[in-house]
Amino acid sequence: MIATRSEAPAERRGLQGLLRFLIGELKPKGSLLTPFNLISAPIIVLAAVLLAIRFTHGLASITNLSQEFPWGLWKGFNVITGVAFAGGAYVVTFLYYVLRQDRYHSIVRITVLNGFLAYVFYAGALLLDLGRPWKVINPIIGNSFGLSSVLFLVAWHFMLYMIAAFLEFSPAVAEWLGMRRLRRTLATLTLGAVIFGVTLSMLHQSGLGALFLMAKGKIHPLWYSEFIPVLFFVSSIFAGLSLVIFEGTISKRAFRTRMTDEHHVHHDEIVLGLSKVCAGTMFVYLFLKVVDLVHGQKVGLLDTPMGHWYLLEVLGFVLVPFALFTEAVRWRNQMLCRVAAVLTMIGILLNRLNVSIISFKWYETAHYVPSPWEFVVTLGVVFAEIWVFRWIVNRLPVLSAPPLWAVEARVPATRPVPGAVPVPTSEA
Amino acid sequence: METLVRDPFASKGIEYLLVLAFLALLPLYWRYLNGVPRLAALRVPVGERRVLSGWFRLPEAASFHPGHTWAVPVRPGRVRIGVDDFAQKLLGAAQAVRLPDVGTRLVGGAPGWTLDVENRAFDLPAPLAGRVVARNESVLRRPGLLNEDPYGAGWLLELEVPAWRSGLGSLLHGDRAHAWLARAEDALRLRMSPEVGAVLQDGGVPVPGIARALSADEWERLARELLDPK
Repeated sequence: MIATRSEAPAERRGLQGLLRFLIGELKPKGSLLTPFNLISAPIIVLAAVLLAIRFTHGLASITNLSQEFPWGLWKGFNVITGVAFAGGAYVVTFLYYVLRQDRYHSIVRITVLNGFLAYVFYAGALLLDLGRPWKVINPIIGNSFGLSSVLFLVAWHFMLYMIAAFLEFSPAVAEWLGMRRLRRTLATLTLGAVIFGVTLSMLHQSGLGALFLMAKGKIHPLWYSEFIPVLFFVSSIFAGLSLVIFEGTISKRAFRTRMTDEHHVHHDEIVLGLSKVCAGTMFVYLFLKVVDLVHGQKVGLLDTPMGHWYLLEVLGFVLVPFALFTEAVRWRNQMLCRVAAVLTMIGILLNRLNVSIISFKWYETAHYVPSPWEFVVTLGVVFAEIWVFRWIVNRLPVLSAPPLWAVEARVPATRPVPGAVPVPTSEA
Repeated sequence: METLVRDPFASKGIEYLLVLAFLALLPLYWRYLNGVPRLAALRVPVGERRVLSGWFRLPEAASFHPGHTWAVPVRPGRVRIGVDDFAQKLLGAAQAVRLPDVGTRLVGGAPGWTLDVENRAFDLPAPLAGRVVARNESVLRRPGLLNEDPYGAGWLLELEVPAWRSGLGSLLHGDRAHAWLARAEDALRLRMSPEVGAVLQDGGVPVPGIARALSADEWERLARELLDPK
């Protein structure tokens, strides 16, 4: 564990000191010439150039979107899949703040940060795909609410959830800046923000599924279902947690020195706990899929090419990881948990792309195939999110311990505060 | 079948049956998920699916006490315990194993049994608190089993541990166990004399009875020091 903050609180630094501190924080920490940077930086730059072309010459200049296929990779991957992967934030905060599962304490901040950035970047990627992006503000300001549209709900849910997630994370920002009074105020809002955030998440994860209820007849019957909002909601639980397990494995290597002792000690138990939740929700999801097949009288469709593709998704990337998660929990096998998490993530990716792109207008002779530039922009968005994520984790008390003054504000002075970093005596 | 599922009444009936099956399976599945692998199946991963942590074997399924003893759940509420690879290699061939009687209550971290090596008695800590419900009679008859297969045929006791899940959670497992064993190895390397250091250069692994190889005169003190959970 390393010390995180040694600067005096902002109240004592003054505005100039705060500016100096912020400028200092902008400087890179460590070498810029890492393999990840060398791969991601050119892609981000190329994506930025492509987006400049897209906004000056229109969507058709770099995408294969058309009136027939208006939703492409950017919505299917970034928005629909990215938001499912962001589901870990509301599940973990629910486990920690509502169910009082204290062992998840050390991953709450990083999961909330992950969820928040996923919404900012992936839900934000919606703007790239809108024909008239400047009108995105209309459902908010009331120029044209569009009350009859599911997108009205989605827009409000996204916006409110981003605010709730930021509020949940904001005490870490106040700790970073050394703003004691602001942190105290923000900390009082956390529980309310969590409850609000969990409610909103449940609504908009299912709301994204509800979007596809509008496309009955255009989506292959194996993927179209009246239950699609419920299926999207249930699957977002294990999608989000699988990402948390996967991301935790990477963070454990990439940010090893920043992680608190508490995090190191509880890491294995956290992974096993999350894997158990994944196994339980996948059990429910598989049951819902079977009921949906029978209820929608779709069993006969299974022995068709699309049916085989459907079986690959459900058996190969839901049933198999479900079995792996189950055995991993029983055997307390970390590696198996990670393998199951990766397979689950592939399954969610397949499912969301199947619903939004692959099975969309499956009956047409001409199909939408993303252009190479769409892939580049998609990758660019993902890499940009990782850059921002890394910048924040390397500076704010996300994985590292909060400063002692922040912990003292929460617990009586007589209680030991494991992992807290003392501030210099000059300011104590 | 296809005709059956196309009939709305039949498909509704199947849906009801599915819901009933789900409700019946859910508690069974939850019990299975929270249970532990059967003993017969457990022998395989503990005995054979070994992971080498440097020099010493460290099975993924086992949880470890810092005093170099291990615990593995046999079924809910019942835990099998024994001596780890580090301890058996450090001490070498055991002349005798002295185990507590069935019914004895062991305290976690307190001496649980005794190994006699070269006429010296070594008390090793019980990894968990619990009541002894079974002893490995084979290892009493043939102490060498402990050295041949410390995680399999060389197990020592089975305990009844009501709070077995939280008890195992408090022990070292997975990455934490690897890190702890790596530290124990480092401590051992620091004591290496040149002749044993050649093992490192050869890329080999330590032979049983490392403590005696390191220091013929003070091996007992050295072994006690390296086995000390602190």
